[in-house]
Amino acid sequence: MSAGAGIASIAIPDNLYKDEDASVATHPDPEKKFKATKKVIVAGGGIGGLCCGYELMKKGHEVIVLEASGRHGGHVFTARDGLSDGLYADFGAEHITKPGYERYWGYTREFNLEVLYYPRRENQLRRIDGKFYTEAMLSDPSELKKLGFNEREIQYLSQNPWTELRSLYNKPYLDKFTDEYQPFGVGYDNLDTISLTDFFTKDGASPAALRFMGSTTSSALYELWQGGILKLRGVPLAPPKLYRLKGGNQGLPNEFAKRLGSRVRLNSPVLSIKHGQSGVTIRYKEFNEEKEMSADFFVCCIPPPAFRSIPVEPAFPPEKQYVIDNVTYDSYSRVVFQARSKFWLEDKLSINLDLDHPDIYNLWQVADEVETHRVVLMASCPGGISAQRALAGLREVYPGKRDTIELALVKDWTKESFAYTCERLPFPMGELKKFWPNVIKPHGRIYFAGAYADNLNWGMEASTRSANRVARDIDQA
Amino acid sequence: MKSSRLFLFCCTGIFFLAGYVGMLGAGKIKNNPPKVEILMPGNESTFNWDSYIRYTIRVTDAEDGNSEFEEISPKEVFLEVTYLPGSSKTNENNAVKAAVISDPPGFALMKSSTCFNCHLVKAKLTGPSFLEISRKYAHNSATISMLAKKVIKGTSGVWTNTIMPPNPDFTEEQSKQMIQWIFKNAENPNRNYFVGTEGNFKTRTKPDNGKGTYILTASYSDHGLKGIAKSNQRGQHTIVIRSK
Repeated sequence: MSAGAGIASIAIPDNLYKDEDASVATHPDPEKKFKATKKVIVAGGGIGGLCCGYELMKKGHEVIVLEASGRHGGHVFTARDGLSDGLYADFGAEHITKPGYERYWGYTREFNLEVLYYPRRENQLRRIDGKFYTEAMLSDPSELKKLGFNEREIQYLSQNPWTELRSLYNKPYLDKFTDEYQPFGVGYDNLDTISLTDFFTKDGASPAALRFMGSTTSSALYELWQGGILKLRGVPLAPPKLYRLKGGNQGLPNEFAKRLGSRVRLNSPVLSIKHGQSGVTIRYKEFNEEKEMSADFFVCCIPPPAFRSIPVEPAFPPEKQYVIDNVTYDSYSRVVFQARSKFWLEDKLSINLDLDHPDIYNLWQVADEVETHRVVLMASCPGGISAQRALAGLREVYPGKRDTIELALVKDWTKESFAYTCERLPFPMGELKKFWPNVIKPHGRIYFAGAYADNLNWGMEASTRSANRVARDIDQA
Repeated sequence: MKSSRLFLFCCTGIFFLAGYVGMLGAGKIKNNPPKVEILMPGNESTFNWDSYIRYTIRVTDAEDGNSEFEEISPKEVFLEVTYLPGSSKTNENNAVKAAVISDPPGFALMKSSTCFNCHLVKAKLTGPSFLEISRKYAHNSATISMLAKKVIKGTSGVWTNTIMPPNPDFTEEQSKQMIQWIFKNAENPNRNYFVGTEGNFKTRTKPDNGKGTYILTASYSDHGLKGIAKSNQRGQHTIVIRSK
């Protein structure tokens, strides 16, 4: 079947895209009732794909969301299995900020989702060179001097949070960004070949400051642009106030999926894509059975590391293919510890720990509203780690007397077949022009949304923003 | 009465256990080798240049199970694809004969560890491709030692902000074997490696003489008999596809 020929006439039954669940409101936009209904395949049932499918459905379009794995939500994943007393943990995306995440906050209001304050960045204890520092210590000039900061940095950090150190050097440059989607032409284009370390060094950063905020592989332009985006949105570099959904962040993907009803198909990986001027035809599996489907538009909400293994014909132009082949993500393990008590309180410690250990990076409490004496702690760890090795790492450096941990579970995202990617990493130094704006540009009838397909790489924010952008663009196409 | 039944039960158990251990010792209970089949494309089928070849692999193993029922992890099934220019039957036969029978130590270690969760040989995954790593470093004993230590201790900030986790369970010698395998094989333009029971690879653009062959070898190493060290066996299947 040629691409775009006789859309849906062969492979798709007439009722395929009909709302099969009458109990779920579709909220069609009355202004669109005279517009042609478009048939759209959304590939990838993570938060980006579900959000895009939902927005397209609201605009009156016929949509199918194909998810390769057996569950929707992708990297937004709330787990309860193995935990007691109704405790739960978000193994993937785990916070939103305010300000920031405007689309996300909009959906929490639309779906009446309860949002809880999430104090995981309060009273952080940081382990530096084997010694734990409180926030007070890291604003104490004598401690800062011992760590090697210069006078200017000491003065700044004595009045500003540790996490805002970069602002000392970035801030004077950020006002020039007036359009958050335009990093070029503001006078900094040459900084794409200057490393962050060199850039900060030029402005007098101490070796101590470079140790905590320098990078020899990220460009100064990328850094300034990201800072400029946050400034335009009124968001600090590392927002201290975080929030999460009561009952787990999967609540939002669940709400999208509930409204999309049977338009969301699980265990349905896309095998190949053919596209042309008038449409897109794909081959996919529906729980092991190979099928074909055609539509007017295709939205790729599959992260590029997985998407690059799907044949697309005709091939993308080289500049688009370069992006698909070279976008990189981080991936990690999340380890959950269930403990009998808030053991750290006996030691008069905060449990928001930056551990600086190769087997366990940091630790914090989750699901603290669940009524039980037990607690659940979450840790970020490297891929390939076992839960017991992470626990050994924690016990090696924990600054208190003892813990009451009684269970350790691991979710190793690097072992996932489809949703192994978390957030997009910075584009390589000197290559911003290769990636931007190609990473968000549609090609023909193929559009791109998801955590990788926006200017700022914050996962759920980029997913919901790009999903709305693509839904709007297809609606207006 | 009850105690005599218990005694009889225990004696029977010890008898069978002793028999099992005896048979293992005598080599009468053996781990069966896995059966690996490339289902698609067909052996001796033809291909078009500059197009995608879809492959599917089935693995069945008496002890481990059947890949079609998800009893065998797709991440433990590998496909080697070797390109042979021209249409020489002799070259083709030699390549089929030379198709891997056992993996070099470094590659075997990589296959049985978590390496391929984050790396592919030619393409980026979470981490850089082995091809990129091979091109970045000089191929000498100093860099092999340096990279071997990095594999064990982990790194961060070498490839943008990607973190390479530590692998403390490898010895330095094992880690060196893996780096040596990468240096020796990753840059071979005529060979690629894939993980999984299904996927795609793209054929080359048409060469001047219009002729070429791909040798596909799928392999799987089973988990052996429980409690019996080094009892695992490897299965493989090699097919040939030729240009139209």
